[in-house]
Amino acid sequence: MNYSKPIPEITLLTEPFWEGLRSKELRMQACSQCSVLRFIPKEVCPDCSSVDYVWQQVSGLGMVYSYTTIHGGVGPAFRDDLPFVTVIVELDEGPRVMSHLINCLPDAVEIGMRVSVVFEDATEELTLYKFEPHDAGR
Amino acid sequence: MSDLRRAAIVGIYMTEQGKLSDRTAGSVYAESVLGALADAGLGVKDIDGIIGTGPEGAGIAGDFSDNFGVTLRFQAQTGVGASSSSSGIGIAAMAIERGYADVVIIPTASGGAIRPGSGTGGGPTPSSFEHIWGSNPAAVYAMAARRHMYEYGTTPAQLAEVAVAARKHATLNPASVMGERGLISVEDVLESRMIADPLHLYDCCLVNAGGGAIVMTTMERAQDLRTTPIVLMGWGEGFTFHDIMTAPSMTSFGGVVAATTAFAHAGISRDDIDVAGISDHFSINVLIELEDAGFCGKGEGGDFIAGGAIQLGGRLPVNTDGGFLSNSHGGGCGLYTVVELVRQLRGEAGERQVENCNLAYAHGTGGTFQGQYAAIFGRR
Repeated sequence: MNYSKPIPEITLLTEPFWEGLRSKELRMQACSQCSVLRFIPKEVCPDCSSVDYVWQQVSGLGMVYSYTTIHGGVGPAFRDDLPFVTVIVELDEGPRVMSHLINCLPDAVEIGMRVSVVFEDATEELTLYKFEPHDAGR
Repeated sequence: MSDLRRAAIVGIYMTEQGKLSDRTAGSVYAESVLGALADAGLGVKDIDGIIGTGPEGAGIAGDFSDNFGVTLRFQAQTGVGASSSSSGIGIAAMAIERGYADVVIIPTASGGAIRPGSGTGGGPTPSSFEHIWGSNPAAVYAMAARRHMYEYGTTPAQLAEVAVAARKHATLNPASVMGERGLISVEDVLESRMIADPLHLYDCCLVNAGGGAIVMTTMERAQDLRTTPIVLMGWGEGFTFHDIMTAPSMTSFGGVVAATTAFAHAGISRDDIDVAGISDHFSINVLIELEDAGFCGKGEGGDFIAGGAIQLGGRLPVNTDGGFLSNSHGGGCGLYTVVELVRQLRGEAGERQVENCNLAYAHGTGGTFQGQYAAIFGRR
């Protein structure tokens, strides 16, 4: 597969996240002490400072917290996609996730809109997580 | 601390700002250092401390010794994007007031081939979780603007007022990059090319090269120098997140704690401020930082800036040099914000001079809202 966009740096800390995506699962760290979920991956719980955590699957459902339709000023890898919608989604479980919103006209996006995760295989090793309007696949 | 030991800005300088395609960053840097020293009436041998970033991010203290043949006894490197240089002012004051250094220089420079962010000495680097989406500062600032509109009813026309004020000021600043292009209107901003909705081209800062420097020393030493010393009366910094996904809010950041600290330290109120300089990478920054710094209530920024209130002659002139939007966004450009405030306090701002200017407020942002400082300057 020929994927020309930036590839994530996968570390010991973040590997379980990317591994989850390959199994079509969106996973986040859940603090072993206070159960609070966090994203992006961090070694320490921002709520209670515990360093113990487990990876937990989340629903992939949430709402648009903010968004922007990008019309220019991007690197060559993204120029063919213009215009595209970058979103920050607030998941029902709490954490916020940046991604792209797909299967939605830029004019139709609004804050508060319900969205759900879509898994896209970028390469044989890399699966990405994007979001679409929650009713899009129905 | 005795008043004699108090830290003051005694030298300022800015090189030509623009393409500078025939200049190395090193030559812009050297010109900046020598220019600020000449302004103060000091020589390179007087410098014993340096803060900020070197040309294109080189190690600063050793590089400075190599270039200028001086022995330094204090250095600190700052890396908060565009505010990298000016965020060193607080550290410089602490070093000077404690006697770890007597004369500190804070230079910045970029030149030659320009790439966005060059010469800032690094800053908050986006994680893979942002990078893979082609996200850039414009996208993050645009999402902050969009959220601000959602929460408070702010409009694109209100954001445009920031760019209109910046351009007006730039037309009164002969050294600005955009001044000669003339005034722009709210309509011009709204009709300019969309970059990251709701931010138009004119809501976005320039991309150019340039350099400048600030020299600080004690009030005691300043008495023998040629310029009016400008005292750092209050200082504060604020950090609440690194990755925008983890930010507690997308419309309020570390500027709140930075400004609260600085005003408490200075013992003055917001109403006392005669002129302000606020990092304006994008128009939304000024609106959010005016709110976070307490010049108006949260969500009231749009109304606060409407009707020319942040233009010269308005209730709080902001970025009287033209800011990053219309003056310069070259190198650690947060430094130019402070240079302009020093000019205003000295009474050297020419056509754009604020009358009876005694107290100035600087608010620096680096990265995408991550690094924030607030500084209050006054004449003595």
